[in-house]
Amino acid sequence: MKLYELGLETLRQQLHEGLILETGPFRSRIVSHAPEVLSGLWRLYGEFPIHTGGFCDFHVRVDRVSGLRRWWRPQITFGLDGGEPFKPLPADHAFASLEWGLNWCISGHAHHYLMLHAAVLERNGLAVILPGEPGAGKSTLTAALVLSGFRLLSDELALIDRDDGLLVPLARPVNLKNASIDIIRAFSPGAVMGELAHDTHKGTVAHLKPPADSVARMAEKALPAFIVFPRWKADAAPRLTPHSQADAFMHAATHAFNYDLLGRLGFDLNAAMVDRCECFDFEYSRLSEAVRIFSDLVS
Amino acid sequence: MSEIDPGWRIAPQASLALRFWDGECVLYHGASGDTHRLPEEIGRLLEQLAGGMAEIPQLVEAINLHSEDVQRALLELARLGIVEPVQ
Amino acid sequence: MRLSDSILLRALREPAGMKGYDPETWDLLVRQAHGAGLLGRLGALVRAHGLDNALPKSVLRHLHAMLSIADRQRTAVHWEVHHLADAMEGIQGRVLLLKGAAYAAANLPPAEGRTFSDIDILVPKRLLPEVELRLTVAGWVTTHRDSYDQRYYRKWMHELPPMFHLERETSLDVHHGILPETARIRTRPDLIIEAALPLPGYGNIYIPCQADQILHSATHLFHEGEWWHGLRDLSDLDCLLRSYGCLPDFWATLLARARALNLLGPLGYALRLTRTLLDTPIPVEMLKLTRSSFRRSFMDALFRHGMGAAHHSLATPLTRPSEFLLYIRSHWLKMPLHLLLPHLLYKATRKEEIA
Repeated sequence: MKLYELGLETLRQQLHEGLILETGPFRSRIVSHAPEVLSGLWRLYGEFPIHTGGFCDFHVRVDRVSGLRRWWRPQITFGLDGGEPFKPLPADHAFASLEWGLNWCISGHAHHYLMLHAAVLERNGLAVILPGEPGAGKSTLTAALVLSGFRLLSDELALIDRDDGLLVPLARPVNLKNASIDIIRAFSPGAVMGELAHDTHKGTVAHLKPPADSVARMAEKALPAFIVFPRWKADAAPRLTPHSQADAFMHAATHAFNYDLLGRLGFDLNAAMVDRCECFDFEYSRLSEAVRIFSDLVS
Repeated sequence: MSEIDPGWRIAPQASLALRFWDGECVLYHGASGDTHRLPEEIGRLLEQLAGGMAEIPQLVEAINLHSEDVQRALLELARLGIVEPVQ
Repeated sequence: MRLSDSILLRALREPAGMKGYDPETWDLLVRQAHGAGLLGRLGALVRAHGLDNALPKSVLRHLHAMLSIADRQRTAVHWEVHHLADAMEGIQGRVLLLKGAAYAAANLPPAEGRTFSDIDILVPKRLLPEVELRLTVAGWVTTHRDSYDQRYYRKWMHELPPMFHLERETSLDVHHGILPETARIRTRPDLIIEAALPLPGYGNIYIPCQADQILHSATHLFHEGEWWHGLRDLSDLDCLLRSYGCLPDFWATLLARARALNLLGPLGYALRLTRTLLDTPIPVEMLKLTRSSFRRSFMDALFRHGMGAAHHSLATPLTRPSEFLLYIRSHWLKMPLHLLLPHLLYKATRKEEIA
């Protein structure tokens, strides 16, 4: 069953008792009374499967704190199985905190996978990994590619399965911030986004609804083929230049969530991935040109 | 083996893994869990030692480095616990 | 629900039964085990009983994840012990690894799947200054620079303030006893050191003999304040007792040793609890040590409710008050009252140093 089939009222009730949501290989049981969580899930997660029982990887909760801050400049907290790993946040950040919280759950616990901080997209059976560099415009580029026919696996977490070395999709909404939000609205006026959350630690934040096709194929793993380090530069002509594989290996290892933890397995998985991939630096200024270059790359 | 020029070997239990790409290599040192990025020649040096204990002249002949560079590399690798002199 | 009826304890008592667990049962079991620090042990049991293929894949992923963590920590311990042995080369005396580090370095029964955070060592008191000096030379620094804490550790407790290695970013706790100077019960660390077994391949590094491994674990469990690790420590004890229990003359040796070290009390509690909660096979004569009396029953109930602190599904209405009482009890056992109250007050009001 898909989330949108519940209808808004039933979704609200299930959220009060525990909604079991499937995203890629993970099932999360979510409890929340926050209206932002309800509307965010309704708007952005309609195509995702939901369940009524079974094994859940994470039991999470997003709700108002008790005491004074329940009513005055209200705050919410993110809870994982009875514990609260983060400080409270303003109540209108509730949906964003669910998204960040779920990322934290995965990156902190899912060590069956080698987890890199990178976006992953796929087209024509070839996956492109975009390692995260602050300020490089990775999320904006990811959103543009996703809106131009690339399948979304993830905007933040590249999960490499230890059993077969393939990339595992999550297909969750793309996190956009500040200027990216308007850029993507301009790039694709019909794009569906959730509500804005203002004054978060990342600035103004919104989430882009994943394409229905990406969600429908969330069980389909992908073969790594390219590692591309993107760099937005004003007025730059689009340019792909080769990037050293040894450097790509070390970059992935230092920016991974659990490379060190996995020891020899981490080394082998990371090396196998780099072995399979052509590595590039990519400089660009216009999204439409970037989309064209990437389309050519995977064709 | 002389006193001033001992033989060298991979430290027991070092548990090494190497991968080479375009003139560079990456090394996994299992005993410490550390990963190092090295010039290709150092990787080849370690491959030589993996085949058995060797002295500096043998290593110089097998890989493309001067004796002083081999010496310096071995000292650094010894400091990291990856190789050790054989007395 | 009684603690002993929990799915976690049922799984530990009867690992083969996990084959028949449904997904909802696994959902609760994984969370209880994770909260109690026993998820890795569960993974090791699944592996040992050949149950990998009988489990849902999603459950297996959680077990494998935890086993990866345990494996990495095992590697880290071996590397630390290697450096420790280097630092202690030539020292006139024995350096003993304790508990988790000992299990991992010596591949003892509880090591499979076990996670831990610090390395604990025991050295003769007279060697403390030299040990501290050698560690400093080898790159360790002392923590807890606050002069109050320094005094607390050195004068009153049985250890140096924790040492930290700057380059490897690892922690080391150096003990000279297994109970503090100020504790009400006195034991004989010198006897533990004397009877210690050498760690193969590591020169002057030792581990406690088998009976002492059990006595130390039992003492640690009931005299420290880490109740959220209570079930994990109890499971360690169960592993050790099951493994050593079938060795010839073991129980007589254990009893004699407990008397020699004045640790009959902690041993009694340990045997009683492992038998009740984990079905550990223990000879009847040994259990007679724990003849029932009101005070003993009360203490047992206190420990059992306190152990429910591991996960909210295991907690009983008595868990919170029990936890507090046990914490007071641990400190009470460690320090005389006239020292205890000012100390607790100080701890509560001091701002934490930000590292």
